[in-house]
Amino acid sequence: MNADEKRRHLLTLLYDWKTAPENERAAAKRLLDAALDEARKDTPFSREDIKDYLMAEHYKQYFVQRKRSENAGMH
Amino acid sequence: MPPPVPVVPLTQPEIEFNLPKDSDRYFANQLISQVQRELAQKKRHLVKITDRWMVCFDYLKQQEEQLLLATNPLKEEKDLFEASAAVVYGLGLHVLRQLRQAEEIDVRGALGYDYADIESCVAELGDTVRQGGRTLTPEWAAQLEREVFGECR
Repeated sequence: MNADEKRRHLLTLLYDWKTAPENERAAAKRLLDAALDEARKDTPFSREDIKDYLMAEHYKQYFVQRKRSENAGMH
Repeated sequence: MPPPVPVVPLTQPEIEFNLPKDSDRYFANQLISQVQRELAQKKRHLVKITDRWMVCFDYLKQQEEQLLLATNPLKEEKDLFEASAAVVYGLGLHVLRQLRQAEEIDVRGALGYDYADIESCVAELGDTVRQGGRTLTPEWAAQLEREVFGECR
């Protein structure tokens, strides 16, 4: 997996968690946490560090694109 | 005609022991039943509070979505969202603590989601609060990109 794919994978799981229905939130968080742990292995960064980085630098753009494509798919 | 007197249903011990109404044991038993009823009421109340907290959480999620979709959101709007998230986060921690103490409550049966789902919602607000107060330096972000994603800026 290259850097872009890795980032996109985490952004997808972050989005899935943040938009999951109430009764699926814990399961979505478990998937995200596992992927964050895999990504941070052998680095000094925490899960929170990676989430904060993604939220600050990439999530807004990903969210807008994802919503746009979801809306386009509906019509 | 006198107004109808509300009927208080007999509790299980009252039915099972069929105690005479003038005995001390009857009154003691009534007190025990009252405590049981009030505890059950407290549990129902806690479930209702949890449900209301989730409505607040859903409202915040809508606010977040609007902020994410806005091209240039006002700083005041972001500040208000973060302040509201901090308050709802604090309330969520309180609700979780109460639910943990009353662990035999069947939250999923009553609300359709369970303790871990609520915990996950509270954790998300915790992230929002932390992120609102955190400034990432370009050097730190570059180091993270290098070490986590294996790329250079």
